[in-house]
Amino acid sequence: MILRRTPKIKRLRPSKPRNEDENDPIDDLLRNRLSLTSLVHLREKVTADELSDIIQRIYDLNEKYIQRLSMVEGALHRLNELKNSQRNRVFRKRMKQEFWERKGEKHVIVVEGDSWFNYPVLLTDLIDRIGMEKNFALYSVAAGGDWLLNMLSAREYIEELSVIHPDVFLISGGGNDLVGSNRIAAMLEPTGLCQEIEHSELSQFLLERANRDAVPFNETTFNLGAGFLSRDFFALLQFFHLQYWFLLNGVLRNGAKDGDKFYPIKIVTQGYDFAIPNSELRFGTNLLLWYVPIIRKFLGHGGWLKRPMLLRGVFDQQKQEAIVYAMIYLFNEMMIYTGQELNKKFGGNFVFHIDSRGSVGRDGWADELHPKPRHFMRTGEAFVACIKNESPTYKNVFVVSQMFPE
Amino acid sequence: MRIFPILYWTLFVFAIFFFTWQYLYVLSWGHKLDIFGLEFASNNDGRVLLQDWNRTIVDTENILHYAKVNTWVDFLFIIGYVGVAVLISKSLMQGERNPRFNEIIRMCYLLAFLIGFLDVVENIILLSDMYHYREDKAYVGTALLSTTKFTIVGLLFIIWLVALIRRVIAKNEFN
Repeated sequence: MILRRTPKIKRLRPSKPRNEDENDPIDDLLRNRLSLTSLVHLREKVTADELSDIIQRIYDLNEKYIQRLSMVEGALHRLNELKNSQRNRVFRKRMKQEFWERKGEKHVIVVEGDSWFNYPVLLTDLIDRIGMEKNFALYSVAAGGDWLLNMLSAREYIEELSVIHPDVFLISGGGNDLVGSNRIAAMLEPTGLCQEIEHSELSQFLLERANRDAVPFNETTFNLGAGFLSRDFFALLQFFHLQYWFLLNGVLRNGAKDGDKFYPIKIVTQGYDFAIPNSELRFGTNLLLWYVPIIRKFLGHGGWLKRPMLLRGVFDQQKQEAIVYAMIYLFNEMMIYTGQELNKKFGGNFVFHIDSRGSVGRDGWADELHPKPRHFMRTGEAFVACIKNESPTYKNVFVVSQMFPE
Repeated sequence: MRIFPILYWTLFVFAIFFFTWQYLYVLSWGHKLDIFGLEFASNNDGRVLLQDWNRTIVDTENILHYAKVNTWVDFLFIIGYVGVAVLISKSLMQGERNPRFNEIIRMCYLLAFLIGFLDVVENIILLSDMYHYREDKAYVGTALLSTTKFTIVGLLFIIWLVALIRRVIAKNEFN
């Protein structure tokens, strides 16, 4: 069995001596009692070892096992490699002199991410669409099934950033950390009466600051879904914030000022859409959608959302959808917040977010997690607009459903 | 990972060379190895054609022998052309920005496999006919199968042609 990435297993440092009265912010995070001020403080000093400690405690698993879970292996690994090698061959072909002699803006892009950026063969994914731009030279280390955790520990993107010196860095991650290996089951409180959101200062803050004109907010659905989210979900949300902060802060420390190694770099993130838990194969008469039952049969459909929810006793479809709605809503808001805070910190517009919420719709899904190609392509066009410096929908956010209303 | 494209193209080119050489060789003896004629023949015509091939000697073998070899080699050709068709479709799809047409090109994957499948079934029937045509009621015609197969081939080529034209236009617009 080939392992794609073998991050070094680091030993945890002994924790620093702590004053009896002082709360450990990591303990608070895990208990979903971390204040926003403490989170802001924590993100500036959190280390890779502490991130590793947090995830072990959220998942109740040891580091070695988590890393095994997060690694991409077997056939999927080979398909990822195949797609990346084809993309990177095009990259090398484009990076010849005539690329620089072309008219108009040219962009060199490094891509790190998951299956929204690298979907095996059948679907046209986001990067396939972005790569259609002749003035973009795109290098990909994205891998379907990859966890953000793995991207951070493998640090493959750092190597490519250092070698290629791109002006754009695209990243998509977090989805597999949430739904991989039935993890979503551990984030649920099946009674639906959980009040943990009230203790999550980050979530409360995100809901307050959300731009509801740009992305409509369905309060009833959100509240229904939020009632099922356990403290582990809110801990994970804060953990995502810390991970992204750690990752993007690291890139911007070397790319936000003139003279920096990666300067001037633009970072573009994305936050998925409201996926629909489903396990149907959906055979139909539309020949153009021949691939849907194949994807659903062989590539994990039903196992990411539907099955773990059923395992936890959440049987009602409406409730299942509401849970995903609440999760994705908060995840996107967290991403937007992270980008805006980084922009504030580094004094410029470096981080942008592509907000796909509500753009795919009920019938737009090829499987539980991945849109059909036409939706991938539309979101890809939002990325293209962002890379080409077109005006965002608001602040640093490109809202796909606003840019391309159906 | 470039092994598969190389394999598909090798099989594809090898089979075409082989068919061409075989056809010309039989032709040089003043006869014709009309495989397409057999594929589209009715039950009666097919049986007559096979009897004729059985009687006609080219060098040391009869034409029926060449037809059998041709059909066996066709299995390799099927692997080659399905692979090549997928590679071409994928390449065209990668450049197609129109979501609707992108979806249509994606259908070429399905068409390629469908053509290959029909060709395999057709070959099995043809081989059975070649080995058993003398037995009563053993002959099964492939005309319907072949017509379906070539109609799909035609559809595939039309989609490719339109995709190619769109690509050239897009390239010219870009330049």
